[in-house]
Amino acid sequence: MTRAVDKDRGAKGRLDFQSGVVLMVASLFAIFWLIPRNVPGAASRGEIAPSTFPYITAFVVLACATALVATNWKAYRSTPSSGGSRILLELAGWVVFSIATLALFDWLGFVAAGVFTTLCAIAVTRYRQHKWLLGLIALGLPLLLKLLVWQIFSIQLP
Amino acid sequence: MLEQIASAFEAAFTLWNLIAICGGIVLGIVIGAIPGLGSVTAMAVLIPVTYYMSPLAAIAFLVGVNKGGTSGGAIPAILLNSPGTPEAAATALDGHPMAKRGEAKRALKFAIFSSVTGDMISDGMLILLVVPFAAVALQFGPLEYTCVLLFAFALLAGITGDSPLKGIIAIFLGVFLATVGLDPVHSSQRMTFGQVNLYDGLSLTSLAIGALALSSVVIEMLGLGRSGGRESFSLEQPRSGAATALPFREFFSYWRTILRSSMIGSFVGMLPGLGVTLAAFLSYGAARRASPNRDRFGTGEPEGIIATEAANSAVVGANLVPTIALGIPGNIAAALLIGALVMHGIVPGPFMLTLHGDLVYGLFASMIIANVIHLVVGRLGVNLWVQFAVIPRGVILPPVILFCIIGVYLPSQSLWDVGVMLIFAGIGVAMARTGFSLVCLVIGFLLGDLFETSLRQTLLLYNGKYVEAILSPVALLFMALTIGVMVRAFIMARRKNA
Repeated sequence: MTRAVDKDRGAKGRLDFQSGVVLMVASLFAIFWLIPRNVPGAASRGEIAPSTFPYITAFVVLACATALVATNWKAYRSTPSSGGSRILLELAGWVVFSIATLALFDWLGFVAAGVFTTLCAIAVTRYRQHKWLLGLIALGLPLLLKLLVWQIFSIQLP
Repeated sequence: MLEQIASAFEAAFTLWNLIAICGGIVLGIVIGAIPGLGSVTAMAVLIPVTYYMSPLAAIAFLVGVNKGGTSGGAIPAILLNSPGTPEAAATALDGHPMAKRGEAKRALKFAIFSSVTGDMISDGMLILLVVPFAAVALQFGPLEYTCVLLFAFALLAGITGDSPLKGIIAIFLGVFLATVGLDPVHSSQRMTFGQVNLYDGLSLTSLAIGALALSSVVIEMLGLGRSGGRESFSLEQPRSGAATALPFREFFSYWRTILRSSMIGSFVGMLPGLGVTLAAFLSYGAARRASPNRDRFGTGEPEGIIATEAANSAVVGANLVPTIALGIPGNIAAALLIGALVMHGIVPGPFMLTLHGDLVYGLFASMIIANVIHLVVGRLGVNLWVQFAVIPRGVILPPVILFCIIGVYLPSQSLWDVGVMLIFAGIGVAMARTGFSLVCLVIGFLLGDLFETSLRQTLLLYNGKYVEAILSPVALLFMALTIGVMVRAFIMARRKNA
């Protein structure tokens, strides 16, 4: 029992370590590239530059991320797996889904994007009862919503 | 004062006004109950409807939508573990476990009763405090404001998530995201990459719906998929019996939590920028600390629902204090209300009480009436709302993505906002999986502008003269509280991990 709890805590610590590293890289990227190139500095002496506040927040994130890495260093070394790859896989799937949804919305309109998103969601849930209802929802709901939005708000969905 | 209140009730008790309030509450509950929409979207899309109403009926209608939407968010939070509104996220912590053990109807009753009670207390405070508050808040300078915000951040980082360090990171990530757009002082572009869509910054609705509602739905769907499409809890809810009953005596036996949460909600609501979600989580944390049953929180403890719902509904009334007294919106809903007032030729601010006193007191009366209607509609509708629980999640979850897309698309009619929502849904999934608080992220984002403005004003005001800054007793008090809260949170986290 104690060993299982330690293992859980270790996996969490390893994930915290990995999150801390990602955040450290992201905040360093913001401090050395994003802010200097995309936010203007002070126009005159004694003025508070528009970049001051983004720098402050990025430094706070960097400091906390460094602390997160430092406090979880031991857990990272002692635990072999943390589930980080599963999160990356989920994110990759979400990116593909999002791009496809936006492309369909833009090129073919709301109904096509709606049918696609609903079918994808049904596939992910792996719920296979009430198939006729699921089919009706996937094909009919986007069309119904498009009509309702037009009738109620006079807004034409693409 | 009494004469004014009597004439206000006379003005509010017209048929059209009552229809407007009732319609607003019903629409608010229905839209609030749809995950991904919520009271803000409901108000945004319904403002055009008020063109055809008198100013009092219009504002009463929108207040009804806000009240209904705020409490309606609790319905999917309890039944589906998918908060309809960000502020209902804390309701899900105890509401959903109650639904899982077959007490969905009782949990919904706790939510509606707490909502109305919190609302009523907050409206009473609004009526009593609107004038004195204006006088006190005008004494707060940017330094005091900065310290109050830091205190709020410390509290939030201390109570949410599994580590205060991760809470701080999430808050400051949100604050960083709030800096995207035009600089509030110089109007120079910050991280806009020449994109016109980014000049106004990232849309709060897109970020909140993406990170809170859609990511939660995606996680639910992935969980359902992993279980092979089988429901992880019994969907059969008893229609009657002890598991559904909630006598008034039992509800009011939690009077300490009700009162404390209503006060927290009212206090947070009165401070501009500190919105409904913060009130809900602060109140939840306070209730957990004060309760003898603190170990049962998160496993279906009714006090958790009461604390959240009383507090988030108490914000609805109280946030009108700065809105009416100063013209500063307490939160997004109040900002929409200001938009509607301006549309009807009324400018909120210190002169509103003298120039449109009848309307202001008519609004107060309408709010009291709205609470009664809210109780009746909410209570009678419980049997209808509970039917959500018998619909399999495999059927109800997929269409929610469509509602989220429409909810984000309608106010701005921009595909850009839909894209932002989808990005933040992905970020939300990753953050939830790694134990970072999404609520901290969203609140950091919401308060980012206010925090930056007050901090920059403080730095300009006390340019080098920091001894003068230390002499402010209000600032000193809040700084000491901030340090105390953070030290305590780190000690507690260390003990937990030891």
